[in-house]
Amino acid sequence: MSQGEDLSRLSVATSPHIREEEDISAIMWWVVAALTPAALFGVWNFGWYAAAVVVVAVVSAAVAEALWQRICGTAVMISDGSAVVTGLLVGLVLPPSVPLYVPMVASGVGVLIGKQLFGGLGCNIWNPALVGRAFVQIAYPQHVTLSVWPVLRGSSLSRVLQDVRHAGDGSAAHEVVLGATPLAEQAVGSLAATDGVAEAMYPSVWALFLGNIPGSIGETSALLLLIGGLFLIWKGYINWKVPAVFLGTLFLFAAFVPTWKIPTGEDIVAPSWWFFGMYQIFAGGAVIGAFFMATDMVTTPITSSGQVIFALGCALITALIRLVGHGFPEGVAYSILLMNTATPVIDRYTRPRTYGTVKK
Amino acid sequence: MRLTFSGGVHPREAKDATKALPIEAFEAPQVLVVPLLQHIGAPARAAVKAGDKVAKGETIGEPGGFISAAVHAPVSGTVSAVEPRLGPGGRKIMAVVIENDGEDRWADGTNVKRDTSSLDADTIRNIASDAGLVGMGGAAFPTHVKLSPPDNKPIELLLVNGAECEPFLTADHRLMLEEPERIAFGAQLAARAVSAARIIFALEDNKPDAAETLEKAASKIPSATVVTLPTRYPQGAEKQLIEAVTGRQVPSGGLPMDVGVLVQNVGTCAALQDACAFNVPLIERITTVTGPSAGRPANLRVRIGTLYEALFERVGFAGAPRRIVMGGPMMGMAQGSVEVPVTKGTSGIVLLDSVPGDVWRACIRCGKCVRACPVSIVPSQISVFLERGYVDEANEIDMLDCIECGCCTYVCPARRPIVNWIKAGKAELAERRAREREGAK
Amino acid sequence: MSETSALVILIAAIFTNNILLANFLGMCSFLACSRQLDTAVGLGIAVTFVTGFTTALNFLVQRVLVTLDLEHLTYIAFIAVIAAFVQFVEMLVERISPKLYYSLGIFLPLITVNCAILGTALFMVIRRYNFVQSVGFGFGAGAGWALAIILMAALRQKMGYSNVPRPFQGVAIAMIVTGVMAMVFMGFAGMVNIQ
Repeated sequence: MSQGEDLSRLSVATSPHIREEEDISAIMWWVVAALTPAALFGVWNFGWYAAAVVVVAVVSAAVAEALWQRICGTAVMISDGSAVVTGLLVGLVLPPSVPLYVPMVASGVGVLIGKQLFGGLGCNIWNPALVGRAFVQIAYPQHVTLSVWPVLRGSSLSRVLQDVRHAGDGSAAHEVVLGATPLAEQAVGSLAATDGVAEAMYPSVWALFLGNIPGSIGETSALLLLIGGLFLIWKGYINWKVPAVFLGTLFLFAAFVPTWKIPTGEDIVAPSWWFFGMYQIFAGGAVIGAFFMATDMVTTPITSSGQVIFALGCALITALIRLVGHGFPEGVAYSILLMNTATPVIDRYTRPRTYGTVKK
Repeated sequence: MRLTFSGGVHPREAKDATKALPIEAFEAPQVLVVPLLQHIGAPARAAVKAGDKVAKGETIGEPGGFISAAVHAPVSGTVSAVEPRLGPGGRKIMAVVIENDGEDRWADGTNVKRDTSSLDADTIRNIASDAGLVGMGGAAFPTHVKLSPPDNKPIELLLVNGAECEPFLTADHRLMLEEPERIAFGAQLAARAVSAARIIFALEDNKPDAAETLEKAASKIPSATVVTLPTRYPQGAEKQLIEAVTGRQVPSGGLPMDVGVLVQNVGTCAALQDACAFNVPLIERITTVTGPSAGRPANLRVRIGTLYEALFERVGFAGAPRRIVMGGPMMGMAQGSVEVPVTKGTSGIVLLDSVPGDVWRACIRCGKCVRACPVSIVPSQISVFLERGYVDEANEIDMLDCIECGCCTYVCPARRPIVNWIKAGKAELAERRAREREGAK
Repeated sequence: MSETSALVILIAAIFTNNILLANFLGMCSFLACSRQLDTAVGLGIAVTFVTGFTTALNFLVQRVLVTLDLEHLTYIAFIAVIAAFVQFVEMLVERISPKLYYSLGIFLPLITVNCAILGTALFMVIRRYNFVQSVGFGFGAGAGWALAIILMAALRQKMGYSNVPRPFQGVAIAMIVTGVMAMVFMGFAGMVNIQ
């Protein structure tokens, strides 16, 4: 060649010859970034022990994945961030008071049984973080179930509120039910302070939204989860319809629940429909579930219409478990796992109409 | 109303390097290699042999069937060989090698003005056939075949395709800017050949200057309009262009004529006017030589049969190219050699300084390919099937409707070679069907 | 128990007391016919239909037997009703949708011996449901069975193109899937009690 350029390295492959920059690791690390504000808030809200829970969950997930891949002789893919996402989600949906072996087991089960046994990233049927969470809920109910707040079933609602009030007195129940934190104490304290006013027995919607309430480590701050979720929507990683349908349906369902039937006592009044709807959305794991778990790429339907069906199913099952059942007080995790089970069916029946064909 | 199609992607356009550069005539080199198969269909039969003298525009290959195209001498000179030479498809194909005598002597009867006002449909079709016209957008389908719809498929609309949606390419852009009359004139002839009542010139909104010049040229034709479409790949794919402009979808497995439309590339229209008004066959085309590794990118008017290495002497390199692509980077063909000739379908030559890696991972079902797919299939699922060799399962979910535009592979964060697998899957299916036909006999 | 509304029983029979996942009835056709989603859907619909109607019929038959003091014939009578009804459905399907008839093939007559159907009728007797409750229970049990087989079929098809590690392929991963599924269905536990 006249310019003497080396043309012996010409590579030949089929089109296209260019690629978008974004790869799997970019997506995963952005998800981690989107979860970080809520995680940091959890640490601030619940104290350093919560940070330890999250760190143990993340490290266990990464170690489990690395060990498995080493044993199988496949490339170790820790840097793609998928195990970190799983570990982080496990940490965030656990109560802040659990012994440290709980996040370890949850992450291990999630990554190994929930993901690797099915063939690793992309092949799993259920959200690995939720598999881990469901597992420890059954394995260590004394640590996991008790401290999940709130119990939302009609009759239980009053019981919880009583618990909250007792906690305000500094009784032992406080330690178990809420996980002692300065902020939670503040919230409870303010409840106790305004004891005379019936409405004040419930936390304000504003407090629920901001997140200085008891709950699992990363699920309390609806505001920060919303910011993270909106960021992911803006990045195009999640479909806005999923959280919209999930939370909207849950609110409507709750708003129609006859809350006046809740047995009221001398200082217990029934919440308004507006408060009860907001309570359902913001008090439990609904926000983190709707934005970060019902939108998981691998385990939810691939088309937009399928995702809407998925979100609708999640909301209905959550409402069913919370308002009708009394086995588990929090239904979000199970509802998403149940709908994960149905994902292949939904995918099959929501395939888009191919260009130039008539819908079958 | 926004005229568009569903799906698609928007890669970096990368047209700035050449979109303001006027078309430059590239002098015919000493030796030209003219392949006898530059189109879809049967190869042409050589009409000359080694030692023959040929004049510019003389037929050197006769069509080898109805779906085939004639091939003409791009220069005057001597045939030095008729032998298999490397083509842009990566295989050796029969080619006529011509030693250029530098005289550019036209053959008798060519390059003479002809009155086009009296040409009827049949004559226009014959001229297109004799002139070896093929679609110049890249697919290179013989034009006279497209101009011959059966009587039961009347053509209502001629769509002139100036979308040029592939990144890097600006050949059509420059043509529309500099020679809009040629395009408009040729479009009228094409419309006459198929009795289309309307002509629509369609281009993307990243070429407002070309839209203006086309508008001016089209204003002289009563039945013609110009539409500007959003810039989105693959706007220029036949089926997507039809959907964007008319809202109609070509039936699966069908052709544009099934919805009363004929699509012709702007370059083809210009070539049709040359053939009809001057009896000049298709012996040259405009091609964009560009890319990050091109030293001085250019829009060149090149004789068919010019070897890439001759063009690279004009264009030069900016660092060693890692990949040389004939056509655009989304659908073009990678070349393993610089001794490949420019053909009728060479809309551009793109020199890339980097290539995608070949490490791919499991599908994470992110759905980007589903949203990007312009024909609304589910590339992710098809790729999962084909990865494991399940061709029948892939076929059941409309693998054959894939137009191989590359959008799914372009966006895939797991870097899966989806289009590659689909091409292989289609080939296997075709082979299997051919075997079954053999067995049935 | 008799105050439980038919609707609650219907929902409970689908989710919380799923005849297949909780009582392990109808296992044989569940395992045999859960390879193809389309077959599973057809079979699921047929079983729902048959279970719903035979439970209603069997309720009436049982009442008659009780009045005639022929309770010891309950089992035989139930089986006869189910067999006859399946025969009827078979003819109906063949007439209305030959395509479905051929895709179901041998499985249609096999519904006769699907123990989920007889099991449903017997549960109805044990739990002393009234007529409306029985209808709810019958359709719920059938729909629950259909739900389980449809989900399983789609999962099994998905497993067919997953990278399950060699040692876990086949039965091993199927057991793990069933295990996780059972864990997941525990979310419904205690929601409605219809024992």
